[in-house]
Amino acid sequence: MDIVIKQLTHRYMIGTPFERVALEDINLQIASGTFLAVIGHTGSGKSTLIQHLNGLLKPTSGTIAIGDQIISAGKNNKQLKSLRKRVGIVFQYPEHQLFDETVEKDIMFGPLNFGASEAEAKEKAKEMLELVGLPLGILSRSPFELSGGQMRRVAIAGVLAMDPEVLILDEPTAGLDPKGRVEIMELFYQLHQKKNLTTVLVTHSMEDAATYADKIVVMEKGKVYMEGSPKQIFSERDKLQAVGLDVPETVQFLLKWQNRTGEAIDLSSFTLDEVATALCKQLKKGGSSC
Amino acid sequence: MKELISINDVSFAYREDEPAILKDVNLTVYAGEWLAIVGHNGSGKSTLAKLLNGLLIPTAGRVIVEGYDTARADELWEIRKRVGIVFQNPDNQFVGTSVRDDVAFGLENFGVVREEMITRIDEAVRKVKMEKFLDAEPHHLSGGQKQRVAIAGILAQKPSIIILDEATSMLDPMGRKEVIETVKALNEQQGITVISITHDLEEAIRADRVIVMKQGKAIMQGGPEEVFQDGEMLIGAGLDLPFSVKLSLSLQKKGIPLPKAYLTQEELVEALWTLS
Repeated sequence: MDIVIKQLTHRYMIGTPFERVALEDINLQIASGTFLAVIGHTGSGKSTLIQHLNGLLKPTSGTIAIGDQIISAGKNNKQLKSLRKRVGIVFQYPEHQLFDETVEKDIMFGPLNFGASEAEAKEKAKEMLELVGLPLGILSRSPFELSGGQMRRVAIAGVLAMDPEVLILDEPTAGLDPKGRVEIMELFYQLHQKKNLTTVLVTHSMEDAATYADKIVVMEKGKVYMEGSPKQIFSERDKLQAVGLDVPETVQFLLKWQNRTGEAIDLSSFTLDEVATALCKQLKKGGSSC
Repeated sequence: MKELISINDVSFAYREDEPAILKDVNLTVYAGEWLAIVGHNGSGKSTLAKLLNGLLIPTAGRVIVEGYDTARADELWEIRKRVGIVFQNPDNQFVGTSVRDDVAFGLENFGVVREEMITRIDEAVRKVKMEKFLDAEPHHLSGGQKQRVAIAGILAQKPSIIILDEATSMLDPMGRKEVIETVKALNEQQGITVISITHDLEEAIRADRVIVMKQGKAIMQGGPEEVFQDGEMLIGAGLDLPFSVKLSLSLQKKGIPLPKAYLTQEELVEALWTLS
């Protein structure tokens, strides 16, 4: 689903001495099927921005169009329920939002709310549990008896159970061990492709942004600071460092190597394998066995 | 090297009818070292941290901190003075209404007299470079700054050990760096022992010693150079290899004759430069 954000401004605590601008004049177009990464340091406005995408926050001025639905300032939006079905948000530490007695009931909650029958919701719970890589045997268990990594998967299954067309991920791998981190990101990436989703990933990991995103938006002080492909964004290290960010470790390595050799090398290799191949070719003078 | 903490045959379960989170763990923490503890989610790392200052008491075995036993209630305050923990969430640890009040909180608990308190607060806040923010309210601080205030609160008690329990995992890259650099300086300049429980392998490679936890057991300990060579063991423990090690291995596979896997980018660049 296309997302078009026009002149979006958001102020917190309007009319009080604490009033402050959290977002200012944001203009963004996210084409259907895009994997967008939003990066920026804490307080740059990333979370405020994504909360506008399913109407959790409403603009102070400006509009957000999600497909044919428009969220705008001041309007009482009757369409929010259907919007929330189409736009799923996985918040930070989503396992903190688990609440029901069993894993099955927890995942069924969303579909039931949106009008699915008991049988349909049950079926959905099974399907989603398999999708996130958990055994069906845990359906009848309490979500609170599971490990942290399993709880997070159950929470994610609950969001996916609503069949969203747009998936918003707010640092979905925070606190996970390195293996879990890769597994969860791969899960989202496969879903993105398989279900043709529009995905918005908020992340502190430049590596994840470089690996998965088609497009990156850099936020700073409530404004869009940079916007472009990973290649464009990560070719401007000075500009990123000026706002406390950096290029991914792959690019950092290539820059160090380039400094040492004095020979130019393509800096847009974002995966470890690409970097190894580029280095190998340079060392073997274009050898074919790389 | 002087032993600060010794963990002897420690097992721990939250409830009697539940499987043990820690099983027969034996470890020693030495004075002045930076010790990284890594392991998968649920491997028992954080439980171990809580056993080190008596927040939890072992189900079996003993934890001795500078001669004090965590299982003895009358020795607990001596232990808590010596071992401070910085937890994961910066917002859950700020108890004061300003930086000054927050650092004072712990001292009040220990009954430190006012004059002494003022000196200690100033000194602690200076060490974490937050002296410009003494009167700042918590919501005006970044996550990294809040964690530095938490560290100052510990420093004011003049501890010998600081434990970071995934203390940088909720911070952005900048906040992460400022916290690690603050603690690194305390470790190097003041000789404070640091135990860092972390998922950040790039941080762990800078430690003096690394302990790998898996399913409640310490399965390996050694210098980072040694521990991070064993890729199979690390992946089996739910971890990953540091970037430079992975790149070294990938280059070796492509027929680049690197003599070993390197831990840091700088070392790998030098090794490749020598080859070219």
